[in-house]
Amino acid sequence: MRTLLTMERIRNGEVLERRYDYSRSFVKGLMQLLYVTHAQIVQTSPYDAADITGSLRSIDSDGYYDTKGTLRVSSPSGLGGLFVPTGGYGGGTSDRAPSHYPQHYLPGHAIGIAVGVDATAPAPTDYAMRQAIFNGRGGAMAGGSIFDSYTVGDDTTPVSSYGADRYGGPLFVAVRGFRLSSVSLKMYRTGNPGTLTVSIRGLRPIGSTDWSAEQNAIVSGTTEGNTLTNVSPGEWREIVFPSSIDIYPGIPYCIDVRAPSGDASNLVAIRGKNNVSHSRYGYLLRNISNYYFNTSTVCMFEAKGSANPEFEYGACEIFGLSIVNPNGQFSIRRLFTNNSGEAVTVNECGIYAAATRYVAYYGSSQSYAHCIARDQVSPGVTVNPGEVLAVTYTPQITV
Amino acid sequence: MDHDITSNMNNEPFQPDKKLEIPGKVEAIIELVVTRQDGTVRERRAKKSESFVRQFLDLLIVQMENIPFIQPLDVCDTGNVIRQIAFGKTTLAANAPTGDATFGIVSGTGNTAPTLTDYALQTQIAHGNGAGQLQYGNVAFGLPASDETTSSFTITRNFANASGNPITVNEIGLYVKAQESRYDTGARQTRYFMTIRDVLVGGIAVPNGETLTVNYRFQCVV
Repeated sequence: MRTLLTMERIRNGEVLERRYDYSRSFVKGLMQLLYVTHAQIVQTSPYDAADITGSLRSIDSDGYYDTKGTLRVSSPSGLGGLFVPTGGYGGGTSDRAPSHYPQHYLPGHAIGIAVGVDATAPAPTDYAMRQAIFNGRGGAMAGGSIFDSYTVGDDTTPVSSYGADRYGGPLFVAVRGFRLSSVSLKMYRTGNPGTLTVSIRGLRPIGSTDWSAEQNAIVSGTTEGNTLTNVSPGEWREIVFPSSIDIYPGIPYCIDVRAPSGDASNLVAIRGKNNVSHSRYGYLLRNISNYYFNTSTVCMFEAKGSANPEFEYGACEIFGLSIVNPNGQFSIRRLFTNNSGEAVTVNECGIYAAATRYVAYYGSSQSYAHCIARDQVSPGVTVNPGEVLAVTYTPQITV
Repeated sequence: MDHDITSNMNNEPFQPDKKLEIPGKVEAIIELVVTRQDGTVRERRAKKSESFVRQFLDLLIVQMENIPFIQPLDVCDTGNVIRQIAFGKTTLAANAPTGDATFGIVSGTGNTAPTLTDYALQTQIAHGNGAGQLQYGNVAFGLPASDETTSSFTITRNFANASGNPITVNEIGLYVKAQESRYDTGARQTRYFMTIRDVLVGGIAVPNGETLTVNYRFQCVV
């Protein structure tokens, strides 16, 4: 099976530029999703695969219910939400009603055809666009811009980190996608907690109301905990990461702070504010075997970085099934409208497909987005303000 | 004459000793090994599978579009019956157990060239140790792997010949499951569909007492 990739630049309904060539870049993610479906991986022994955030997700073909959205590629527009069935249930074991928790939804831009600006050649292990163009109408934002933050009114200390099994930090869900380069946290120390490791991690539900941080760090930086003030309410400390990462809007992340050398007398405390009940911010805490997830209280934080101009993502559609011996094909297409006010050069495109995890515990199943294709667009296609880029993948088989 | 067949029916995928890499394509590479009773290899072949058939596209659309049971897609099953198929957890399942010839890798004796609209093997070899039959082992899977250019995973099945006579296998296929739904109750029934069919030029002979191992390696190359 080979796949024709067509890119058309359109203004006022007129095609200004059309390119087509065979896609060279289905990646390991496609093999992983085909493996999970063919092998019927069960939830008691799931398969780990990186999603578009870089978090390792445990995925399967299992479920209490038959409906399971693995390989979903069609999607609403970028602002829309996509419910991806996990096979899970939300009620207790007595009724097992189909569940519709937030973790079963994905933002429209996270499924279907995606585009980006990075010109790096594809690799089999690519798990996302190297530098995505996100959905929206915003222009570029320079490095050092603050994208998400909560910085005033701290009146509590929701997170204390020390040792191997007490850690956590701010939880946030971005509204605008951006390139994260550093975070700042308001912290103080007790004793000497040692070097702190600050990581960005995905989240995994462990019940209907509790979450934990995923097992791998997407990116990590360190800061010396022993130089923090030991006076509450603490000080702001910025942690710069060795490399920038894409933050996808609509997907929860945790700024996870760990003091592995610390103990109950040598710890780092993160400041927060009670009684906020924020729609997108909160905190996550692991305390030995207990996990706490809360948006009533918010940790103090800033997330800084930069952003590319945005495109408005249309719906991703599947159409055109054609069977004429010996050839068969269908098409996947998405329109991207540049209302950012700036020209954007697209150097990469690809396809994101859904995968899911079923957990036989109410609310714990989850839906994810995985990259199954990433192509280098060379030379890049420059989409000017007001223009539309149509990207079409046409898988073809010939017997 | 009784034949003492010693075959590892709980097979594991074998690692290929060469690659057939075609940049830019999603391919299935078919590898065939005939093993004697003493475990030595009589014959080994590898070739690029030429024949994903239309049901592969149909079932990809079913999952990529999450085709619902209220508006199912017509897909032709291995019995040449059109079924109304909706998305689900079972779509593309190929994990057949020992002795189940309804899905997984299947073998046959037909040698008519594949066409896009093939829905089943021309002449499937039945499971068993009677005349003209092969013993179908369980289907095993190799984990997805990748190197600098290639990603892949494997599906493997053993076919042991305890029939008393040699059998020449001319065709190999992959049968998978999907679910047909009823609108009124939502009740589902498993159906079987062919997604790959390959014809082996000249066939591959499986002497009595020996085992054919078939390995489908799905791969994509950047």
